[in-house]
Amino acid sequence: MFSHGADSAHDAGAVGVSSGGATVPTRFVWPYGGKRYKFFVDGEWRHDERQPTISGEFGIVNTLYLTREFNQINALLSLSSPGSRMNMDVDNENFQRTVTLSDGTVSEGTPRVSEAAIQISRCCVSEYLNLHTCYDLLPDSGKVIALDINLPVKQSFHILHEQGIPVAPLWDSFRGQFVGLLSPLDFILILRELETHGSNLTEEQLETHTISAWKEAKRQTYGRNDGQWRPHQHLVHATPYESLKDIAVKLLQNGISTVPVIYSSSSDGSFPQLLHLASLSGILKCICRYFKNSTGNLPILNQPVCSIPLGSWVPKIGDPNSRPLAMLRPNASLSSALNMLVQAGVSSIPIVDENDALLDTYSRSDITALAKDKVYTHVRLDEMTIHQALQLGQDANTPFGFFNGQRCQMCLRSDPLLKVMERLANPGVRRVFIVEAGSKRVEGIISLSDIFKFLLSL
Amino acid sequence: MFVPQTPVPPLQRAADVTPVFNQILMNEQEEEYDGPPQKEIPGLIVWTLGGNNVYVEGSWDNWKSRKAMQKSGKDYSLLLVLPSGVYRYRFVVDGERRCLPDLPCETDAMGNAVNLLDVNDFVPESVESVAEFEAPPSPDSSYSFQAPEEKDFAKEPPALPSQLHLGVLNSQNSEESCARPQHIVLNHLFIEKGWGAHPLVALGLTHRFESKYVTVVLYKPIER
Repeated sequence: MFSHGADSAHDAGAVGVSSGGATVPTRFVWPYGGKRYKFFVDGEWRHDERQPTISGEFGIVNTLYLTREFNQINALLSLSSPGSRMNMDVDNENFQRTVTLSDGTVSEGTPRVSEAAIQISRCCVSEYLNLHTCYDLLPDSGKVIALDINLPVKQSFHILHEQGIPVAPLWDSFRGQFVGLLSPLDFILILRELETHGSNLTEEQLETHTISAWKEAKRQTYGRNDGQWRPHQHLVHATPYESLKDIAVKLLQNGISTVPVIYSSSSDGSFPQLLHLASLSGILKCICRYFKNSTGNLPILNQPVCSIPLGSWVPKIGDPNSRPLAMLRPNASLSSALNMLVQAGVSSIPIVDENDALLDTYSRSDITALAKDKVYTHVRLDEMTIHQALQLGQDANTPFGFFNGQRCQMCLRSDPLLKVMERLANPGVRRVFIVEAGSKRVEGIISLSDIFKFLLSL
Repeated sequence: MFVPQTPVPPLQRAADVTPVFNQILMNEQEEEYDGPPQKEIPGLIVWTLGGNNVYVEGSWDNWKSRKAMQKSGKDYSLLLVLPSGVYRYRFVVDGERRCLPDLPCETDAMGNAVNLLDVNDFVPESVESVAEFEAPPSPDSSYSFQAPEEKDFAKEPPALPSQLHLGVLNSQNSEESCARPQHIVLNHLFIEKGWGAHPLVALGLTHRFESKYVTVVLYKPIER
């Protein structure tokens, strides 16, 4: 074996040297980055003149031109003849095949999907989305539930729970318009307010506090407009003949998950008819249905999802750019989960055990389960654990968010993109967790907005 | 409970048609459980431009096999039973690959033209052909009826036609799909009074938008 001199901040691996005589072929895993090396022979640092060299801060060093293929560096070194001290050939070809650099989110062991395949796929999807309109999203016979803004917030909480829906448009009968959406985030903020000392909202007031009063207070407290409460402006909505592409862009740019589809036969928008609630999962379902049987048009559909640059992945060693994925244990308090949902701006959090194996997921829409038996009135958020909160929703008979009888959608990194997309096309599933086979350790998360941002190159 | 009948495309009438349907109705089970079992739906393909030997090949089996089409009069047709989705297919007429230009078609990445078959588990309503959607003419009678007075409201209202008890609002539905409502329940306003001490009502209405049906439920507080 021979040692390699450390010549950059990346590589600090020094392997033991056996001076003179017996040299053995070795193979070791080089955990750090870096691609320059030098030989330490009989007490002095030497470089191999026959291999590519560059001048660096350590004198002349050998260097390797590496291909960007893998994430983990496997150094495969072999020696041609034992005992020969001058004849230390680095098997450059072998080395080049296996030694690589970490590159963003691409994981080890698989080649990246080609740029050409990505471009063809984006082109086809874009064309499809431009040609088809929101009308295709409407089911043959659909149901949509709306709430009057003068309803007390508490009752709307119960209605959403009983009907098994996470979000409802708000109707202002005085103005004759739809003015916003009531979403799980509203309930999370209300529950947190209830617990704050000196808050303006008491239990009794919750009985009479109307949705409109809450929305106004929210705008004043949190400063920012949540994008959907526009009592004096036009609501972000879709019309039935807008193209799917416009709707997807609207959803992504406003950072919202659902948009009401409203039709008005008059030009000033009066007498609006509510038709549907459009979301990215509905659009994805149309895409999957159209392209599922002709993957020739969309070559990336059959590629393993780890070879495509999308999603958030657990950072690998030596990768300084990734931020860690937010995860929680089941015994963490519910208030920490709610804080994370609000502050990190995510729609769901993976719940893992001590080995980082995935157990379940807590989403924003799970907050309506607290309406069951009025649990929220007699439980403090920081005393309730996530595990208990999930138990509340266990026997809910609504199939919202379920697929295959599972709440938590998991895939392997080798699963084709089409499979991940089909999972995400179910209403209520906003994120798919990529887990390691067997141990169920979370490796990555792919969300609906990740897929659309990738397909639309946003 | 009433379930609307799904219209099925007309089948071949000839009595001596070979049982080609038996081959088509094979149902390959996937090894892993990957969602609810797909319901197979019949879809009809028709070729109208003549020829002697007409086959069809498509993406349902990844273009592996060619299926012979049945001749009826001057046209050829084939009934396929497939899970819901959009499929691509092509005709092979006397050895030559052809597409029907007046059917939906697209050009794939390699420049080949294919026709599209959209297999749905419902048949989209053909708006023009439904007689109930035509507005009836005004009846021929005098319009001298008196407006109802207080005492009229004290009487019992007329009995509700039993068909109005059916409909989307009274049945249990999943998020995904409701049963297609009968036309008779359209444009009637239903009300559900508040339960317990809650002063609220639920108003429900099923109406038609183009060839699709939308049921809207609005929860409103009652003004005291």
